[in-house]
Amino acid sequence: MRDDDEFVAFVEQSGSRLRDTAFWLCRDWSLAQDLTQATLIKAYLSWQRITHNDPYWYCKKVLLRTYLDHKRLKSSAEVQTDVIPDRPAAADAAELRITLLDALGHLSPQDRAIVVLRYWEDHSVQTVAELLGLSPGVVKMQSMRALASLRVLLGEDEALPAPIA
Amino acid sequence: MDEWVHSMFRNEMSSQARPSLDGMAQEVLAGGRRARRVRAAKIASTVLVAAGLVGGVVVAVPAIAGGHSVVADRGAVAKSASPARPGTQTAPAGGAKTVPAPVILTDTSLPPSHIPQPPGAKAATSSAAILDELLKLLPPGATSNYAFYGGLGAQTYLDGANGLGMIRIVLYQGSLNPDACTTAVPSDMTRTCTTLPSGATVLTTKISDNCIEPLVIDIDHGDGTVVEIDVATCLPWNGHSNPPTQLAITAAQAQQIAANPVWGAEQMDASLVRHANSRFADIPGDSHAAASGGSCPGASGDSRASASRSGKASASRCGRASASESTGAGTSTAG
Repeated sequence: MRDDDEFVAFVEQSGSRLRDTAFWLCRDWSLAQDLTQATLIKAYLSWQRITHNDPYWYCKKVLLRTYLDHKRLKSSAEVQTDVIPDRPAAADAAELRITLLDALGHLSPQDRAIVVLRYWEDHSVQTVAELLGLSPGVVKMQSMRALASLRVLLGEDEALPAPIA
Repeated sequence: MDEWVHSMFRNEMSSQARPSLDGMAQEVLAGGRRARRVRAAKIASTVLVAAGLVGGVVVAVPAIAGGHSVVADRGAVAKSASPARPGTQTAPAGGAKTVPAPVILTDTSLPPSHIPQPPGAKAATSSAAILDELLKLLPPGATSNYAFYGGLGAQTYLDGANGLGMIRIVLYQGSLNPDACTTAVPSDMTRTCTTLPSGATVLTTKISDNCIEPLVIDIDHGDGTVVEIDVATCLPWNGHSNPPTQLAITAAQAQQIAANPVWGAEQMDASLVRHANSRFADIPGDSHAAASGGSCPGASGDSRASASRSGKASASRCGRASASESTGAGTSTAG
């Protein structure tokens, strides 16, 4: 069927991007695959309605909602903390340095979504606000707070731009 | 000014070993088609209930219950049901978007019993008892990969005369919808109704693009119990694919198992239940007792269709097989 062909083409074109975003949100490739698949199935069910607009935008909204719902349902499975771990000053910084992926795990699901949308997807504050159903002010504030947390978690040296050789 | 975050995202993603997306489009397509069918059937059952409410005869609330089965209210469709039980009827083929009639009807008044249970002490049916009895009734062969499935149901692999295959059984409280035998079905599905000498109705469903349910036998015992046997042509999702297999039993064998009088959606033989609950205490599954009467509460079309690669999807137990459903917890030889 023509609709199915169009849908398959869309999945082949956009599936990877969606899954990468899902990965940053959940930090697990298997779960990212599940979230992406669930999102695309929902898109398939609404394909005739969304195909005339922007299916990728629709999928991104569904993905975020699916992820946040999943986090709400599974909130007991993940340990959230607002306490930043101590970093002994004398230790070897290279050994103690955590990755961005680890650092994202210390953010709340919503803050993580904001950071991923702003800095992985390169969306504006306004667009992130629309995607998450928040006010631009809230997005701006939470984005700044999340970035400040990341700076501390990742260390000041990581927060600086890479030196130009 | 926050270029460092951008660059960290890019650097870390480039160091990630990203799993292949091969086949995802086809999987999503198959899942989407399945979800569409389930959703359409759900809408149909809702319409039936609404019609029943208008007529003042509705006594139960419908719910999705299994791959092709939809629970609906018996009273809601009684007016349109065929007055006499059919000898053999085949539902006409419809288009891809045809909405099949619900298969299971729930009712507070019990229909006449065609396959009465043997007398004796009874206990609340458990999935363990269903698995135990299924293993006794299967033809000779090695069984393995036991799991509980659906509200009241079980799964096993059978490696017998026909080769390795997966079999699932689910017991529903209710009765078969006579309309399921006559209403048009989607083009990838066939439904045929026959009547056993006892008067019990047998609904045989074949779904060509569903390897978990290519052959489904439902038998209405007539006492509020419908037994469904799913004979698969693949194994559950192993994280990469559904490995293809053979139909481990024939339609006639599945029919024979489903028609056994021992089955009861509410109660089964007490000693069987006791023994089975103890034997299969370690089998994975969330439903050992007859609490939900063989339905899949909370299983929406979407979640059912989103077969989980990681086995983490919460409602996958009632849908297409997932890795978590295939957890083998025992092996024995049947027959």
